[in-house]
Amino acid sequence: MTTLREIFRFEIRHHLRSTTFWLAGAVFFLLAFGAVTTDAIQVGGAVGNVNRNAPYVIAQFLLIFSVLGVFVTTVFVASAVLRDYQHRTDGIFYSTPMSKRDYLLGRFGGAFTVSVLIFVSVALAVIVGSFMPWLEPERVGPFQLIPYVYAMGVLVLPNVLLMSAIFFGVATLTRSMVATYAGLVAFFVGYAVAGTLLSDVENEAAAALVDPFGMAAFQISTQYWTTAERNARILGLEGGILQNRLLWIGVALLILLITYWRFSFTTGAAKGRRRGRKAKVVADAGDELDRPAATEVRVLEGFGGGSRHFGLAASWTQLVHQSRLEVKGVVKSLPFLVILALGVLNFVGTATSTGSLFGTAVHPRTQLMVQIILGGFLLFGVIILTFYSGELVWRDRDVGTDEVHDALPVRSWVLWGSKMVALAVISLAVLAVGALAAVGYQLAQGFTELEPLLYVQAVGLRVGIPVLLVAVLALFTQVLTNNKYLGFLLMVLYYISLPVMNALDLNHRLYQYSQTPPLPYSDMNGYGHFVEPMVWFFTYWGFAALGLLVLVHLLWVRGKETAVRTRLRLAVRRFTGPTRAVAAVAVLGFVGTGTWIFYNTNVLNDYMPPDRLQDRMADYEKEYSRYEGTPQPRITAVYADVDIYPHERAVDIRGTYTVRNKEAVALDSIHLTWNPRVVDSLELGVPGGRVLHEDPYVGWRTYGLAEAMLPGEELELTYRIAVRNPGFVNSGSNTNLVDNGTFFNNASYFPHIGYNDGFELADPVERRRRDLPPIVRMPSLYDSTHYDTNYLTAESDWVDFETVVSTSADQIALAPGYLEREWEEGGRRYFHYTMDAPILGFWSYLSARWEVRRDRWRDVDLAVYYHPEHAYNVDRMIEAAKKSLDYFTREFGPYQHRQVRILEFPGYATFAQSFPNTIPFSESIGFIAKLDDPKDIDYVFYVTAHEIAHQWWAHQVMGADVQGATVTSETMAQYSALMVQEKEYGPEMMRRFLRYELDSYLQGRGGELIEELPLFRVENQGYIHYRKGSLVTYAMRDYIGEEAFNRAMSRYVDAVKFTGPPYTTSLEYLDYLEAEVPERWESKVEDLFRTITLWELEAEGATWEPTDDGRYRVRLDVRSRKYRADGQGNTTETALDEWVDIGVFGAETPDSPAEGEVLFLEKRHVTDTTAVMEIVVDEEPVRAGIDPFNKLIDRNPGNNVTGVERTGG
Amino acid sequence: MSLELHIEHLSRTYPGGVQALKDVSLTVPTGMFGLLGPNGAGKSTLMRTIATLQEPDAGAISLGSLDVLAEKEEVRKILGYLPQDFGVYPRVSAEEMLTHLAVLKGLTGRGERRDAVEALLHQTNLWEARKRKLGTYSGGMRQRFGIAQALLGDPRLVIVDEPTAGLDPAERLRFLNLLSEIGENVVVILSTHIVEDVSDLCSRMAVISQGEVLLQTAPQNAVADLHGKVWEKVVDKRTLPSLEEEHRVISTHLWAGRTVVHVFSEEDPGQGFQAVEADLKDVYFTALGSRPAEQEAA
Repeated sequence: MTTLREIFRFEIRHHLRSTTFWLAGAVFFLLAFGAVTTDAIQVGGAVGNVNRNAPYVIAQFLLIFSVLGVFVTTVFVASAVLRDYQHRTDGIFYSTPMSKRDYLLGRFGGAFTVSVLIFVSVALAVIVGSFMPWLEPERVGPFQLIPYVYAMGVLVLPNVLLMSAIFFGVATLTRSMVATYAGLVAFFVGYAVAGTLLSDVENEAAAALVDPFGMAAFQISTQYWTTAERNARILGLEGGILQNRLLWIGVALLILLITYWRFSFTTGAAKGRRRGRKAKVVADAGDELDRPAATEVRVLEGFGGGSRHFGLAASWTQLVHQSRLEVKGVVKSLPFLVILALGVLNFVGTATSTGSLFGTAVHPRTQLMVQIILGGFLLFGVIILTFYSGELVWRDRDVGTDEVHDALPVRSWVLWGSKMVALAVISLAVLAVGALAAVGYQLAQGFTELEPLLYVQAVGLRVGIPVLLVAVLALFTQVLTNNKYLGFLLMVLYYISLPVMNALDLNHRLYQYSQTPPLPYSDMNGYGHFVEPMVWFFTYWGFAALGLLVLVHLLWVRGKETAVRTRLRLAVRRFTGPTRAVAAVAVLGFVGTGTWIFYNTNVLNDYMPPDRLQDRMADYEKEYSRYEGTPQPRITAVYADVDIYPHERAVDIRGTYTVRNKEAVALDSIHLTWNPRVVDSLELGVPGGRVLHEDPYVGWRTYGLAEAMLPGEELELTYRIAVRNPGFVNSGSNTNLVDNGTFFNNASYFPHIGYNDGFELADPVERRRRDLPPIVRMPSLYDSTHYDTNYLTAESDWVDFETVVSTSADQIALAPGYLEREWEEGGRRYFHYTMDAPILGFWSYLSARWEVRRDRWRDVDLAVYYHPEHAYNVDRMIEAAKKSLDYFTREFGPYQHRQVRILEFPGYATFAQSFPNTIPFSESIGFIAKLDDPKDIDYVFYVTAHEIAHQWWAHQVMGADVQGATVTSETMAQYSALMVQEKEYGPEMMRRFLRYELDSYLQGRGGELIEELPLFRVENQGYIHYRKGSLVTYAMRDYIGEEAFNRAMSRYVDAVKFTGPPYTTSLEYLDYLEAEVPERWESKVEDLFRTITLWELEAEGATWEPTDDGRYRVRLDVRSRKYRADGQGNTTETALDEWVDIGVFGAETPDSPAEGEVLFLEKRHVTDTTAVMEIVVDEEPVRAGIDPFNKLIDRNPGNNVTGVERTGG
Repeated sequence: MSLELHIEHLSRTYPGGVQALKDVSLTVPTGMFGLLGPNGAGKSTLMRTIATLQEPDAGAISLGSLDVLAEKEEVRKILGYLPQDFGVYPRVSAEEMLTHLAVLKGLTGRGERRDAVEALLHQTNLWEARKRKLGTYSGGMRQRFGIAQALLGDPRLVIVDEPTAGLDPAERLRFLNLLSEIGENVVVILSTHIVEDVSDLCSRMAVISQGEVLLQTAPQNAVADLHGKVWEKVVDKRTLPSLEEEHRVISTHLWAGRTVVHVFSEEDPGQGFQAVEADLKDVYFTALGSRPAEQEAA
């Protein structure tokens, strides 16, 4: 026992003295500390109102770190066994009389304990971090020890035990570091593959069990937790997590046993490890030695000779040769291949899910592939280049060839230059592999529009150049510090500094090395105007890199002198003519391009870091929110001449607003406001008006009217606006005005009348920081003073709209309305659009080089304007439009326009939006969806139907600016789209769709920042008005029937369309709905619309027995609970009085639902927590369940159905 | 044309305070020059300084008309250097590596380079093993490879630092033979702590210890100077301390388990001491002073 203790202690002492331990501990501590105390570092973490030290966050943190920590754990346990071989002390140790048990257990125990200490540092970081004074106190809960104990005990310890056991075993049995690392890679590969295979919702139980880290089990058990639950609940040790932990602790012990059994004290098992310097492995009494060489004494003079060259050409040849040697060394090394393989694997994993919506994939277009390379794959490249910067710089010294090399007659720049070239070649090779993986993936998917030029641009230049810049920096840090690990540390600091700087609002790329403004790509617009700033920033950083290389040259260690003073003295001596010239070029170039960039970003444009933009928004609100609700005239008619210059990214707008005083009082002033970020110059004309107050900084002007505007009186305001986008900007470059695919709406460029709450700062944290009161997202549903304005805009009601829009000759320009006339003039195309009926004050302009596909539905013209390469789903859209118009006109009422136009716009934004008869539709949410598999959800159809439904729900029925407004637009549109979809694809497809909606809704609740509201008082919250809206309306329709539900809607449309002010509210809609709801279902309106209600329905078991008449009597045990939740997610149980679907299913057939053929489906009354349902069916039952189709909101939708067993066997 | 290396008043103190070179002055003519000294004497510091890899605190080195400390580039062009402790890329073959180093030595012409590499591989008897990975070489083969690379490019100044340490006697002999083939007009500095290396090969030598040059001479002259002044006796180990008080002990060594003492004396010291033929070892130990270095004779 004392031997064991001694070995154990020795092991721990060894690790505590190693730099690896302290470095890993420091990195993990800092990472965790940073993640808790800043928003810059993200490791899982707290979102919304979840406390930064919530039990959920603690558990998640430690869990993620326990996965990351595998690398550290492996180093520790592998070193515990392999150290003896490497230092060749195995002979000494193994010949001592210690027992196998003491040796293995001591070494393993020591390494395991040390690994655990690393995670203790993570826990400490969270504890310490949560006391930091700069955290908002609202986001820090009281300190509790239990969550840490739970996370360490249940999550971390078993993981560390398992991982130590696995890699201790591998290392012990193979006695090879290489094999151990290969094992590590194989493990992660297997992990990733298994994760992908089991990622489907249907495999949750298996995934929870199989994931050795318990990540899946934890994730699945907590995925629908609300803020309140995340702050208070501890997962506990039950269900999935318990099974998972038991399984894997068992596996760990088994592995340890096998290791113990297989281990024996023999030495020298492994060959090939003892390489490197002074390898005296093979005592080569080489045969050639025996020949006496000294018998003939030759004179060697001239032997190694030949003509020698030391000129530039020779140096170049030497550089090429040396670089080739360096590259070979890296490319053949194991870590390189391993990291690269991981990168490719990760690429494929990501590629399968990128861009997909509702589980439906997209066409693997090159731009998406490039995005993935930029996103995940690049990380592997960066790891490789950081690691090998150290390896390359230290290679000669590590191997021991440095003295030979340094004394050779080569220029110093050949020595460091070859390292640089090697680093560059490796980096580019990695990217090339990424591109090849991408092409391979595309071809495997049967996609052949490869766009090689885009690969060259995107991977070679867009990604390649910054990678090269980073490579220079990595080389520089290695040379500067002359210490491999210090160099790595500096690089890690550099990588961390970028997000940290952004989080601190220090986001100018002039001081973020290698960084450029973002370069979004769109198939429609290519890289567009984003290229120019990128080129300048690359040039700028290129000169900086050149400067770094000069420093590398000066500081390069050649020979044995490493003292700082000596290096500086040598550097001064090396700073000679050519070096000075290069340094001068670097400095001049850097300053020159930097000046030019500064001129563009800060002189031609206003450089505003995020905090200053937010300050300005806060200023606007603080100064002018007192005018919110101040009576102002409202716009009744709009006329605008709009000249779009796509290539110059400019637009000129000249127009008039006809405004009328709709108030009961005379108005003596008019407030006008605009967005100062985008509007470059503005002229306003107010007849009889005098400027009383002007604030161009936030964009505000007040006119006093010489004669007050009497009630009912009209005025014509004029405006001239120029939007210019001069030069280029540091960030936030305007994506509305682009070379191909301009799309902007009136809210961004046109002047507004009165205070515009759309300009307010929304982020609760930023508001608190600026002493702004909590934002009122929407006025109360019961506050009828707001019924007079609609929720889109306060400055107008229904307006007449007419516009003339021009664009360059090769483009089409579009705006709502009907084309009156089209002509060319001065090399530009003009389009005159007029709307024949009043519309809401919400209009848009688009211009692009489109192809157009036209069709007709009855007397309605249909057209899809699309990018020529994106024809994939245009027919689906037209089909969806026709089916939608069919259903909506039949069920809700007539369509108010004579045309429907769908217009593709660049994927800088990912939404579709319905304007009157005009539907802009992003290229990235449907145009490239891959709808080959009929089993996939056709979300193109769904989005199209949803947007067309908005022509009723928003453009006919407009809600007042109070809570619940979006029920009458978004929820109704969602329901409408569901119905069209169901008619097209059947209820089974709808169930799958709704399963995604349920998931989104439950996840959305968990991420709520302020308060979850019941549907009828929704405050423009997407997860409620879309996702819950789908579930609620679908369920309600199920109770009262489609006919009744639609009748309520159509009567409602009839009553309120084109009305306002006053505008309708969700309360009014509920009146119409309730009129159609029979008494039996009245409580459903309460459950679904007026409260947040959750059900917990479970089929516990089912049996059947034959009846006397040869039928089957099924007994189904069900367990039911019903909860009401408040806005923070606290739940209280409430009485059950439900009519719920009870279903019995037979064998599966091709046409049946996944549960099997429906033998029985009926609503049964449920009033007790546990109940037994008896059903008699005609065929043999296979499954049975309660609410089998998940119509009610249930956080465990998977346990509603169970198998049916025959009684008595 | 006779090249000479002049080292003048060279001093070097390491940051830790160790004074590796104390005002070292040497003149090294063409031919084989032995630099003899115990481990840690400052030999390697001196070698590296001449080989452009280290900087002295003071002093000057010139080679012919070259200022070695300032014109490093030029020195490297005529330098062949075999460091004391050098490694190899284990997975590269000798031929590949030699070819590569030849390029770096300025042999950029393909044909000439091949000739030079082949000649050296033959000369160092590595021709048969030229395709083998360097990682599989034995210590002796590796040293021969080392000298091959040093001789690439026909250097005028060859520095060989402790090349025989750790070699078995046969290999050592082989290696010395190889060194002896280097041309007459080349300055060759062989640093070693093994006296036989110098006695076998060198026409000039210096003894260095603790950073100081103790002796600079031709081996024959030094041995001749000691003629008749070295006396030997087999003694009991326990009497050594008293013996050391009485006589100027040059060295003691063991022979067949018994202690043999050499003492320096102008006259016969009596007491059973017998005259022996002085050799370079006696010269060396005499120069090192009265410090006993028992194991050195092995």
